[in-house]
Amino acid sequence: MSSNKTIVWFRRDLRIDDNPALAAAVKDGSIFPVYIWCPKEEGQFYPGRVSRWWLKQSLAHLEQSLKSLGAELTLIKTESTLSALLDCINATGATKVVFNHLYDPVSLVRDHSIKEKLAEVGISVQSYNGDLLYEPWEIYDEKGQAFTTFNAYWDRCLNMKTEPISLLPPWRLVPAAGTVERCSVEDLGLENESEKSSNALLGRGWSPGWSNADKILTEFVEKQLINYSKNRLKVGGNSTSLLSPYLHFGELSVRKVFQCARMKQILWKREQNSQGEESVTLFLKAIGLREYSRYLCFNFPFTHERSLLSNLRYFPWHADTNHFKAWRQGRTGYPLVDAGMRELWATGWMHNRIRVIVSCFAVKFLLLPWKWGMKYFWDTLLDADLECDILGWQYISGSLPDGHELERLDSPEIQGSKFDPEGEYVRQWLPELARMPTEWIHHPWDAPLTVLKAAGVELGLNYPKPIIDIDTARERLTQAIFKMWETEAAAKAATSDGMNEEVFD
Amino acid sequence: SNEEALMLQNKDSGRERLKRHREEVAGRVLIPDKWGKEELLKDWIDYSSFDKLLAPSGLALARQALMGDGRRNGSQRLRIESMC
Ligand SMILES: Cc1cc2nc3c(=O)[nH]c(=O)nc-3n(C[C@H](O)[C@H](O)[C@H](O)COP(=O)(O)OP(=O)(O)OC[C@H]3O[C@@H](n4cnc5c(N)ncnc54)[C@H](O)[C@@H]3O)c2cc1C
Ligand SMILES: Nc1ncnc2c1ncn2[C@@H]1O[C@H](COP(=O)(O)O)[C@@H](O)[C@H]1O
Ligand SMILES: [Mg+2]
Repeated sequence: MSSNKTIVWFRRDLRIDDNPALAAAVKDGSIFPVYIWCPKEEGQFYPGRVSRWWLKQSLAHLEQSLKSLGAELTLIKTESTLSALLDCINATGATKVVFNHLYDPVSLVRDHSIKEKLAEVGISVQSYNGDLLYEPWEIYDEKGQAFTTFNAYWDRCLNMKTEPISLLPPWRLVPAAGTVERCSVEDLGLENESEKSSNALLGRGWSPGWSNADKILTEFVEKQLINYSKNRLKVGGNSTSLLSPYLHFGELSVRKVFQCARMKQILWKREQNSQGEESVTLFLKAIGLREYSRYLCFNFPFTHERSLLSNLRYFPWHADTNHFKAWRQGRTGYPLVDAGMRELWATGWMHNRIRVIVSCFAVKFLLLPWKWGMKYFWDTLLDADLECDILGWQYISGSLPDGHELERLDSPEIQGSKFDPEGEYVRQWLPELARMPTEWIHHPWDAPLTVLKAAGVELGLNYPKPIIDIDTARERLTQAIFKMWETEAAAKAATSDGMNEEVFD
Repeated sequence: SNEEALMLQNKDSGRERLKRHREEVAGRVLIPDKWGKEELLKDWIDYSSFDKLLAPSGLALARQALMGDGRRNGSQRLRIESMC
């Protein structure tokens, strides 16, 4: 082992095993692990309450693990990540900085600038892939173009010659000595005083941290994975893996998740367990969608002329703050939508199907700007993740060739009868409808007065009437799409006129 | 392993805890009447700042550089043992 000193800059890779940056530094000599909290640089992507709560727990967990392996995690709160890194370099005499890649636009720009500035002062910087099976630039079609449909993309990933490899966790860490101004997890200020009581509730349901992630993964793979294809159709209860917040913060290596699921796939194939096989295929597809979210953001960034959300540029949004409020509060009068929004508020989590239903409702029924919805999700989801969130809104808003069409309008009533046939999910989250008979639970507005009365429901009083009926919604959506086409055509005509003028000038 | 078997039997597993948590909070969900996030939202109603965030200047350069780095170092990917 050489005597190199390396700063290991932790970000959203809060784990010990299969952490390429950490592994590389350990192989090379002594290490100085650091986590830098810089709210100023997060700007409007400052994480919401529940996401910050998760981060706080996860950092405490990582801090303990690193300590028991021999190197303490230094926590720094700062106004400039670069200057915090320089402080660490000066304090330790380190000659190298390592970290794992992030692909969101804010991180891309920041990381690039930090690499350049550190290189200028003679520091070597190495960055690694710790977040994905394949880097976004490793997967292209025969013509060298980025894929724009998921199945083709995922097919290519699954047929890559090089298999993703996991790294063993280090046994022992050699610390690089040095003191910088550091703080405790508490001092980072990830949780305001006023947030603590709501957060205490979260702690009863969720256990952040990499070793908890490992346990949940093992339990899921051993017990639930086999039924994933069947269970994922249920919107209530724990029907999916619940791994998204762990994956977001990198408490779990996606390569490890992939390998564990693959092992089961091989086993079930040999046993000719077709349900098991199908379950693994679908679960791997979910992991693939996470990869795809980074892939699309990276290959079709928002500056790009083929930016995948630019189709909505001319959409005539109804920026109605009252509608927005009703949606957030779960008071739209559509039970399935309202149940979802209350679950989100109360637990920081929703099933994928419900995310699709409530986001469709916001965009297609209420014509609310998709960015408002995305921002609200960003603020309230425990697994808030920019790329996954964007992919979700792209999927429902006609921005993807293989997603929903913009004109598609799903009725929450029909969705309810499909995905919550007994109405259990609605009753769980809307106690005011707890006594509604199943027949009417997803469309109380159609129920006879006697039924409503017997169930103790007074529409417009203790539960709202539908904020807009589906026929009106369909009409308005159609008009909005026509309007969008018109405006787009006019804008195109205007720019081509502009170009002509230039030419003649 | 033994430990794993124990954990799998453990009623207090992550999934069970979450289920219980859901049952506890459901129906007790307060819908804040004076919504606390109205202020924060004002920033977002202005699209231009949002667009700037998703497309910060220097993004194209940063992408190119990362791809370049990645391709140069791709071959020397760490290869240790695979595990589960
Ligand atoms: C409008 C909208 C917004 C979303 N916002 C987020 C978000 O902020 N953060 C987030 O992690 N996911 C988001 N998703 C994707 C998806 O709903 C969640 O990842 C999933 O519900 C998490 O539950 P799970 O871990 O039990 O999933 P599982 O079904 O067990 O899937 C395993 C893992 O695969 C990934 N995954 C699954 N489905 C998707 C998907 N559709 N897109 C991308 N990755 C996926 C997740 O990492 C997940 O943990 C969003 C989806 C929509 C429609
Ligand atoms: N091509 C895609 N792009 C983005 N998200 C997708 C795509 N296909 C499926 N999804 C997501 O995965 C979920 C399940 O898809 P499906 O199995 O096709 O019902 C959908 O509700 C979407 O959230
Ligand atoms: Mg009807």
